[in-house]
Amino acid sequence: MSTAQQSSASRNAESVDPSPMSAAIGLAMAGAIGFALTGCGSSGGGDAPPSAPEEPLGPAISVQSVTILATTDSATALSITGTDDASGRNASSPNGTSHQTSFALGSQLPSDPGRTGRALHLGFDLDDGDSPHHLDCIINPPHDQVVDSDPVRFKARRHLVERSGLGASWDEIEAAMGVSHAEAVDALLAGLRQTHHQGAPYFLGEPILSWRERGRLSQQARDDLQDNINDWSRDLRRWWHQEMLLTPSPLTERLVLFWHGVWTSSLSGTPYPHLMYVQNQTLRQWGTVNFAELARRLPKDPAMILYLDSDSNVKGRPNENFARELLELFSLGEGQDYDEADIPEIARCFTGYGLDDHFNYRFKTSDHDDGEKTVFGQTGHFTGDDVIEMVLAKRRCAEYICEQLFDEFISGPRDNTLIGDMTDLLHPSYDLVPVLRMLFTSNAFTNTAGYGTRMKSPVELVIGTFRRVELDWSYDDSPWTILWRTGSCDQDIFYPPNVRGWPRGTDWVDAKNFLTRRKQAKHLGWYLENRLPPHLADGLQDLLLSINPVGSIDTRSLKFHYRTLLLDPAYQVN
Amino acid sequence: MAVTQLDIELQGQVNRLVRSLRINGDTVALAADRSYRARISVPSSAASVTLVATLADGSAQVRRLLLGHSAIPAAPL
Repeated sequence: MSTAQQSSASRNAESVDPSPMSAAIGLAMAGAIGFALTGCGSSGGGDAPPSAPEEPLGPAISVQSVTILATTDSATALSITGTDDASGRNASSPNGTSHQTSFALGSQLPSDPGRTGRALHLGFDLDDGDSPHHLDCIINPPHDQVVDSDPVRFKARRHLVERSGLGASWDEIEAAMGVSHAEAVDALLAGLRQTHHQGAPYFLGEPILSWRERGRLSQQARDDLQDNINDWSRDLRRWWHQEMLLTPSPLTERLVLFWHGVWTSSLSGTPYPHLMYVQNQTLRQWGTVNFAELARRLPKDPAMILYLDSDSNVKGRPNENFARELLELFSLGEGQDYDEADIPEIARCFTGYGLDDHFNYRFKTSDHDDGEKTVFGQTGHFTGDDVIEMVLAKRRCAEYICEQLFDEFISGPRDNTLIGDMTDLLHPSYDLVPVLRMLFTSNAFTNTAGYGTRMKSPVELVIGTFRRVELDWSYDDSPWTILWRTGSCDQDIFYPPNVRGWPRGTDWVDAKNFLTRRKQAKHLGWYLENRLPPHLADGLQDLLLSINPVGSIDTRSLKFHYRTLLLDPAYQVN
Repeated sequence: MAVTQLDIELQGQVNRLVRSLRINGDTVALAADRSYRARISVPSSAASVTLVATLADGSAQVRRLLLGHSAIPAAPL
């Protein structure tokens, strides 16, 4: 079973009717209300040997009793009685101002309603014989009732999860609804990962041959190797898509994708996909934590060296590709806080930043120009490492990164005051978490006028659809399909269109592209509509759309409802 | 008579896959037998309780309670 399938099974353990196994577990749990059957019937978590006898796995969370505690303004005899499903044990409270009655939730209740089971209505009457009061407690309320309970908070939390992640699911939104906005942001940031959630791609153990070693292979062996490399390249893209689908921290993968579009490299420039995996992991390790650390490593990243021809940047024959992009696209912005004359000098600083025969970074002393260079008005025997420190010392570098983060997560006209405040925070430490906290808690981000004003990237559109409705991509047709879905909308991950990286905002869409995006939404609708978990029927429009639909929505059935929501232009934005 | 404060206390258990439990953002202590006890103040005429169990693999299980009562006037938003 693949990781994706395992995840699917785990999710579906709570999204389908109880199996005989779960029914048996339910009987074993008589007397308890359970909320879920996570990993039902499996050892789960891998923390026990398969052969060891284990107790049946009960619900992830169960509630066995509810106690009502009431304080009154004067001494009185208050009776607290349970109604509806809460008709368990109860007791009259003594005279006084503090009253307490416990209700053991008995076996007459379903032992495991789960998130997808029916809602449980617990009613409690508080009566002193004069002015009765009633308390309702609904466990597992329908989604539309959750929205109705606090629509402002729902929309705010949905906006946060949607904009910072890859499609907002009910679980993610409801977890955020339980806390304040600032606490929800803190939880997102605390969840950032420096490593991927799943295992590394399977092909990493395959050796990387030098060109010379490849040349010594027979023609058949060379052809076989190239076939393997093509498969590994495809599977690396599938691997990252799968990481986006499975990660408990979608913000992590959004940041990796963000940096992949800023410090761009491509599979098309690398002989082995191993190198792009290494870069992808570098982006995850440092791009979630500290920009300076990332900037110090990427000039020595083998995929970057190949993509921007640093390997051919040698003493006496400087190649300006990396130097130019470092300033224009990676750190300062075109024409910002540097002179054209700095570029060839910086290229000289980076001479010798090359690769060995097996594509590992190697500083080649004989290729390095160790003469004097003048960079940003300073003269010295600078290396590329020195240049990175000089760039990082510029406030403009921090400002440029903040502009990019603003464009990625907020979009629309830049709020220069916010960007200025973020820059003050980012420079000179380059710690990213405080800056992201400021971004996600800013008025520019939380303003309700911004809801539904940002065009989703194709990855957000496609991966987000699967995540929103909690479906695994293994349901999709073939290994290639999801790559085709995002690629046809012009976002083929690991193959950015050019060194400028991915478009943003409305640049994602032109007349042709919009039709393709809508066609993909239609295909996803066809493909997924029969697999939609029934529990999504309530509040589906609230889940899927950030703003009111443009067209009329067909609500005759869950299938039609889902289809028309995905086809509505409002689904293209978040 | 007026009810000036209303709390509910939940008692229950989590399974062995659960590494931590938070209720409305606050971490709840888990006993050795994996039981928990948490008191939640009901601040207004309508309130919600969100239970988030974090599992060993980092994923989360989220459950929700909605509370509505007629005992205490609604707090201003």
